Order: sequence, then C-alpha cells, then structure tokens
Amino acid sequence: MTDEPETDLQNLWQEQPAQSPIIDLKALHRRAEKFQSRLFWRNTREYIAAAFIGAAFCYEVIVRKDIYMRGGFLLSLLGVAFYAFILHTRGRADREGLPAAGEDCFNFHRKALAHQRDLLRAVWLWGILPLVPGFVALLGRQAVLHPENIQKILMAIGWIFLLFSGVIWLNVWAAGRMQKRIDELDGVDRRIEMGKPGKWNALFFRPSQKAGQVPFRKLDPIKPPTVFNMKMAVIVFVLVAGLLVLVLVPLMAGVRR
Amino acid sequence: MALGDTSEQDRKYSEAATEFGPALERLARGYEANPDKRRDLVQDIHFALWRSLEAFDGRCSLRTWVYRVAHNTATTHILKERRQRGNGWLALDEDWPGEGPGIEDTVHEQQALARLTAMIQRLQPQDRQIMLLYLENVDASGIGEITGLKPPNVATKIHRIKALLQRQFHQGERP
Repeated sequence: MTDEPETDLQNLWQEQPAQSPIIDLKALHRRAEKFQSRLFWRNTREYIAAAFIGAAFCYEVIVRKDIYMRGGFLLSLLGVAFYAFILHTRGRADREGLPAAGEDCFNFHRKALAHQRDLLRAVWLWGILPLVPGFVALLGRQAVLHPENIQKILMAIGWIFLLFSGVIWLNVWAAGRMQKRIDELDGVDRRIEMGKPGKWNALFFRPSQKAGQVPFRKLDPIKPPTVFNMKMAVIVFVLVAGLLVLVLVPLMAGVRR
Repeated sequence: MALGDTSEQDRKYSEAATEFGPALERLARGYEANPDKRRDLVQDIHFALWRSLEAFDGRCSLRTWVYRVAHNTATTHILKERRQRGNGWLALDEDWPGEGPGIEDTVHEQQALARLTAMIQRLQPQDRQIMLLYLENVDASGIGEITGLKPPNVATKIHRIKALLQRQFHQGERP
C-alpha cells in the first residue's frame, strides 16, 4: 500500500472549510466566573439545607423530656453533621479525585470512571449509614413507649429498610457497570497485541474471565477519594457504638418494665 | 466571582487557539453530527483548554496538551450523549457496511468527506481518537503520547485504519 491515497484522505480532511476561531477571552472569563459561582451556590444551598435540618433536630434535643428520645435526635443530628462534612469534603474530593484534562486519554477516562465507581460503591457509607442510628434509636424508643403501635412501627422499619436496600443495590449495580468499563479499558493494549482471545488463547486466561476479556495491564494505583479516610471510619465507629448504647439501654428498660 | 490574574493563561490560550483552532473545529465534527450541539462542543473544548492551561507546565508539547484536552472533553461529551441516546459504535476491525466511490472529482470529494465524517462518528471512542489524529497527520509516537496507548499498538491501529479506509474508499484503485 502506497502512502499517496492515504494522504488524499488526510488532505481532504484537513482542507475542509473550518471557521477560524474567535478568541473572545472576555467570554471565557465570564464563563469561568459563572462556573465558580455555580459551585459556590451549590455548596451554599446544601449547607443551608443541612443547617435547617440540624436546627430542627437541635430543637428536639432541647425540648424533649425523654432522655432516650433526646439521644435519638442527637444521633440524627450527628448523622446530619456527618453528611454536611461529606458534602464539604466532596468539593475537595472532586478536585483531587478527578484527573486533569491534560492527562493522556487512557488515564483520563480510567481515573474518571474509577472516581465515579468509588463514590457509588461507598454510597452506603456516606449517604445511608449516617441516618440509620438516629432512625433506629427513635423508632426503637417509640416501640418501647407505645407497644400498641408495634405493627405500624415494624412496617415503617420495613419500608425504610427496603428503601435503603434499594438505593444501595442500585448504586452497587451502577458501580459494577463502571468496573466493567474500566476492565474493558485495561484490556485494550493487550487485546490489540494478542487479538481477540480465541479457543487456544482462552487456555491462558483465568477461568473466571469471560471471552473477550484479557489480563489487566499494570497501572498506577488510583488514590481513593478523600471522603473515605480514617477520620470517617472513626466517626462511623462512634456513631454505631452510640447507637448500640442508646438502643439497647431503652429496650432493656422496656423489658424490665 | 472575580478571577485572579489570568494574563499568562490568556496568552497561552491565544497561542494555542490560533495554532490549533481549525483542527479543534474538525475534531468536533468527528464527534458531533448535530450543528448546534457541535457549536456547543467547540465552545466546551475551548473553555476546557483555557482552564487546563493554568496547569500546563511544559512537560509535553503544546500540541499534545491541546489534543489531549480536546479529545478528553469530546469523549466525555459523546459518552454523556450515548447514555441519553444509546447509539451503537463500531470498532476498526468490525464489518463496516457499504462501500462508496473513491475521490476522483469535486462531487466525489464532497461525498467522500461526508462519508468519512459519518464513519468517524460511528467509531468507538478510542478508535475515533486515533483516526482523527491520523487524519491530522500526527505520527504514531505523538498519537501514543496523546492517547496513552503503547506505540506498537498505535501502529497496529493505524494499520487497521489504513485497511478500513482502503476498503471504504477504494483507495489504490484510482486511475
């Protein structure tokens, strides 16, 4: 094959009429300001919402006479504070976890997918778990105080459980799809080198690998986003321990009564 | 919200946009068929390029940087669009439907360009990146640097591109 015909197509492509770019720096600056301002207002809206809910829980903590109900609302307050902390760190995680636009295309997309996958996988940690202790403590105490309503309370617990399970399942499923796309990307270089794995190639792949997939190439490990660090683990531990104390004590008190 | 001093960033951007502006416009044609959406995509690419130049430290050439930013922005755009429209893409080594006339005269040139653009728009993202860079005369090592693929694999892909173009445009049969 000679070079000439290809050059024809390259020439054809490069000589097609294209508009000269209008370099409007003021428009770019305006857009950058708008972009910053949108981020600022998004964060502000979320902080205000968290502050409102937190204030409502604070009010309940102060006015309730029952110590266990107070504890339940306090746990809910902690859950909201935890959630607000996650929102605060999310901005940083977005900046640190997402790749720069100037990275090579392979790494750019792999890192972007891995970032989304990690956020989806951990939704139970940052989106669901902070709310659980407060819910359980409040509903548990209600069950002790009003045993005649136990059916309604159990039903409420069931619905909440179903809702949370559904949210987690959907997110884990979406994270699985992200992982598949990452696996596809990881296999690209090897697939080009080896061709699509056929009957014989399949002998050299792990049995768990489906046809078309190939061993992953070695990549730099991706740092997890900032939201999943040790501080978080400690806060989660404190919340769960608080839940156990606040739920078990009133339940035992109810049993004694 | 006020921006800080952007004069250096502005200077780099003006330089990049002057040199690569038409190439970025052609690149957008390979990614988006709808003219309105394509105009938006070109603006998005320019905005991403301007923002990215704040972090440009000369570790790679300006050309490599510009193409990386442009392809990353455009690929993100088509991945988002695919989620909405669910379009199917083809790889270079799959069976491509139909063959058309070669490039013998102006009418055929326009037809060929339209067909070439349509073909590029059907390619899966990575093959599309390589095809567009090949059409812009970027060599194999440059394509490797931009896409992150190993140079021998880029060479294999270019070989497939040439074969595909030959089949589709009767290359080599010209009088």
